[in-house]
Amino acid sequence: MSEGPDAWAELQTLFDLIDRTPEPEQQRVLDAACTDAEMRARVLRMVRGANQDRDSSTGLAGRVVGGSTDNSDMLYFLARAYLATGRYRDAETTARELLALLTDKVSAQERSLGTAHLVLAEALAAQHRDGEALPHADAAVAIMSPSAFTPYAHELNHEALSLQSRLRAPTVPMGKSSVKAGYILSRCRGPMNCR
Amino acid sequence: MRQGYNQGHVHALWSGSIPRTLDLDEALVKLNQVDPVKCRIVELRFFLGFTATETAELLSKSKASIDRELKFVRGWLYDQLHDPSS
Repeated sequence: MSEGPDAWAELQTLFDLIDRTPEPEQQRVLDAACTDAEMRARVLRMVRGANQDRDSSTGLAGRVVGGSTDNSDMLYFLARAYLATGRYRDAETTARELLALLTDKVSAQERSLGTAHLVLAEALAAQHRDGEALPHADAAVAIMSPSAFTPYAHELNHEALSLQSRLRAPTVPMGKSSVKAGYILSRCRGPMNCR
Repeated sequence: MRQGYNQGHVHALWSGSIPRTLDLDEALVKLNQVDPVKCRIVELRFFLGFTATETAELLSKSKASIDRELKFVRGWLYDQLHDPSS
């Protein structure tokens, strides 16, 4: 592809724009900003290429946490932070690490296992992968409902039930990222030690 | 200055998967023609080992600018080295 001065400047402008746009919004923003299909495809390839290390380094969090379930809160809140900032793939990766850390090491009814399923379900739902998200939402509800005693636990339980209900109702419009983002942001509060 | 790049240099620059034999030298020659400043940033950061702050001072730019331009170059190189039409 030609790298003339005008195209080069446009490439940089679009790259900067898309690189700071949350992933689910990138295609829409790019479509609005550029009419050249080849340029759009190229910008997306570049942004993905430039962020490859970031994506592959997400597993570093798990390495820092190590194999101890005592430190699982770190992964949980990191996944929450990724959700709140629109980094849904990172949130998914971290949530999967969290789930792998807890599975077979804590009781199948352990609340932290339920919250791990919940955050993974939210990461998948935010990427419009509702079919994959539903089993995790179901697992979250099954684990968390019987042990929701504190106000924050009730809030999380409500969050899981709400997500499960929305995932089971495909006719309900769920595609608006702004609604989902607001929903996810509203989940990222509460003290760290009482989930 | 840009002579003798090797696979180690590629990994220092960007550790993503490499699907085919690279001609990093050719890509950087092209970059130098299109945007010599960005090529200089790559040379200083990855081939001469300067930090982002040192590179910024040498080129009279902010560190944020260096980081941003370097990220763009990483994406551009990824595209060059993965897209056969580039």
